Amino acid sequence: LEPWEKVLVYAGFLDTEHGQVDCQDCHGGNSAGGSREEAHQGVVKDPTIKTADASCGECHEEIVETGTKSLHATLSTFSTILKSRSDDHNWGDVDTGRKNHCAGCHSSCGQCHVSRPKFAKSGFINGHIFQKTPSMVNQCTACHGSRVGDEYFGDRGMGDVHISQGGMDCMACHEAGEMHASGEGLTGRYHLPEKPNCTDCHDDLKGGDIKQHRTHVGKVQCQVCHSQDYVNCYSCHVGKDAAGLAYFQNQKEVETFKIGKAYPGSGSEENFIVVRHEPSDPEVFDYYIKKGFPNFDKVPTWKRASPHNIQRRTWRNQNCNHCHGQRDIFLSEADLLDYEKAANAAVVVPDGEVPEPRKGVDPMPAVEVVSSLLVTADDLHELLAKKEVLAVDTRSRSLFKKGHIEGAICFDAAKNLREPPGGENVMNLRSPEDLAREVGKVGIDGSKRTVVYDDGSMRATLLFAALERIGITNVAVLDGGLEGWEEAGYHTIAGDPSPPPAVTVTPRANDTMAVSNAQLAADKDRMDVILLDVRSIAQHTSLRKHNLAEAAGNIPGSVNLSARAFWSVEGFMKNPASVAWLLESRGITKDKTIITTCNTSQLASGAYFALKYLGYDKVKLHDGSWVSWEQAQKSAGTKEPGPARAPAPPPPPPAEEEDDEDKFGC
Amino acid sequence: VISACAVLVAVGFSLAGCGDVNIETSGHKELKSRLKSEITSELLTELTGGQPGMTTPVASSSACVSCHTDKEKLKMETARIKAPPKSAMTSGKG
Repeated sequence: LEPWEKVLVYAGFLDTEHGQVDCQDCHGGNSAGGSREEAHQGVVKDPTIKTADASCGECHEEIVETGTKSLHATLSTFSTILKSRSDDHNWGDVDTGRKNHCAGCHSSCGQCHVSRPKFAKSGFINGHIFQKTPSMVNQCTACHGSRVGDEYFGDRGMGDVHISQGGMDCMACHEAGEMHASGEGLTGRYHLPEKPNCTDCHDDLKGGDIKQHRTHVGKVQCQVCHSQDYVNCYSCHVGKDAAGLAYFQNQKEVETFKIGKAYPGSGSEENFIVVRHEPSDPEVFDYYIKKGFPNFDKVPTWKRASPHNIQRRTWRNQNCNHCHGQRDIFLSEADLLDYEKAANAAVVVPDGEVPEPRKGVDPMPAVEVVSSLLVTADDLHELLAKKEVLAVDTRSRSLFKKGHIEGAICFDAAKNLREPPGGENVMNLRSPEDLAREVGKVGIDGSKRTVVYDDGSMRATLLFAALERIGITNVAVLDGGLEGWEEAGYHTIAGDPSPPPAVTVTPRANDTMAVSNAQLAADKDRMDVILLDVRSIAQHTSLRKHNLAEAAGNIPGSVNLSARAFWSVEGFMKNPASVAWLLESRGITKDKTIITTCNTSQLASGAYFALKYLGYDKVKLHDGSWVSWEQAQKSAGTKEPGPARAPAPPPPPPAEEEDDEDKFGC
Repeated sequence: VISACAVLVAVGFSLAGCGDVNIETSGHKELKSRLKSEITSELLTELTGGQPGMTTPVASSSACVSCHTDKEKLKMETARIKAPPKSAMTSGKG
């Protein structure tokens, strides 16, 4: 939001109950002041943090009484855990670090019912009009984003059935009673008596019709069978920079799935639970105190988790032996870093406790892939050494300069391949002649095998698709992109070397791989065509809107399956067998023509590539995707776009070269 | 039937504490007395002069309201405010 938008009070607010209260009663200040500075002297921006009893508590006394002690307000379990790992001697310094770096994430009455949380850069949700139910997009997931929000909406994984099928927002499970409950004395959030349980809705599982429930309920946490892979964070460090500004750095995020034992204090009565790695590290507060955690081993770093990416059918519950006998999904000693072995002793599943494979259960059929399309870091390293390949970094030049694979050339795929905003062709692939000229400028002509890579943004697959458009097909994508390269132990270099000499490329146009809006309108309702919308659930259901789109919405008849069901955020292709199963189980089969669409064709290109890799022949890319489709509908004067519930935010501010990484992304 | 339902809703609303508002301890005297016996929307209609959409700010808030509801004024005023700096060393999604 622009600064003025953050503090704009809607006239309608004055018609509400809260609008009848004098501004100064809650916010202080001096309304008689002649200037902005005078009027704001002594103003309390959020009077619900420290003086909630005197503002909200005037009327909502009972809620404020417990709400100010709630986990959202106090983050008390942070202190409890840090204190357990520290000791009396070190606690003062550790607590200083906690206050500077962790405590800012707390919330208040106002940050759930009036404004975006401070962590999410503040600003009224609805012109200061109080919202009884917090906004899932602007409030809950504005803070609970990378783990809960991304997983729920399908920005990581395929999302959660509770929203995709049930349309459920956060409050459907996390009711006011839980949010306002006091967290005093709790050792963890799972000990809150008001916490939601799956069985609040899904009752009588033990005595129900499903055999697997009768067998597993009570022994295995629901999420073990029903969640997808989720993100795990590693090694957070905090400090202050030269200007005295506080910072934190997470070293690594990994999408994986681990089953652990229900350890003492987990609050679970089952034997097996899903565990997530938290980014704690014995040296996290080294800036404030060295060796501040003499009792680090007292609390596990693999903690009970409840990933918000639930599906009724998952790869893991499709076959007994996708879990039974799969040592790698049960937490083992080998998964632990040296400093955390003792802390997680009670969570590790010993070999003898991993359930035996079930006899007589047939494995899922093997999947054939077009292996030449995807190369590993080791493959690329070897090819580069032999000078048998042209490596292309498809990120922005600014990122390329900071670090790239030695020998790679820079080609900003997000900027150079599509028509710019304005008009019906927005984000369409440029003409074959233009594409040929652009790639020719940096020496890409297909005479040598070309390997493209990115940072998980799917720019690489966009270039893959564009090259196919002009007949260059000797192209592969680097699995894991730059992260995969570095993870494999290979180095990167900084700088901006000169590209190879420009070449003339004569396009051999492939006119069938990209589908125009007109073609799509004609074909999308055919029984043998599936229009696959690979955006997040939030965008498909109009809760969120792309910055180049005029309105949120979806193309009628489209089927939503997030591109992050195929690719991890870091840019790794997911297990082909599980992706193939997922597609088949959703009726996305090889006999049909699959047209992938998103916002600007970028994510769609990721799905386009993944389907080709899995051997789908009849795959096409919706040229320009949603932003182009809505312009075409506008020009035609139809109302074909789906319902748009989200109000259109203002256009984004002009971005600098360094900050426009996602400007044209999906 | 409609009247009976309306009475039930009103009674229920009253028993529920008028939508969580603790009218016994509220410091806002006028609201407190009205909320005890009247449905909120009716009260609001009265407080806003009986015309939906008619805004009547509390007198002492007029100065605050005159600026904070005026987009152009806010644009001008906030243009002078700088966003707090953030460390370039911050990395990771949090």
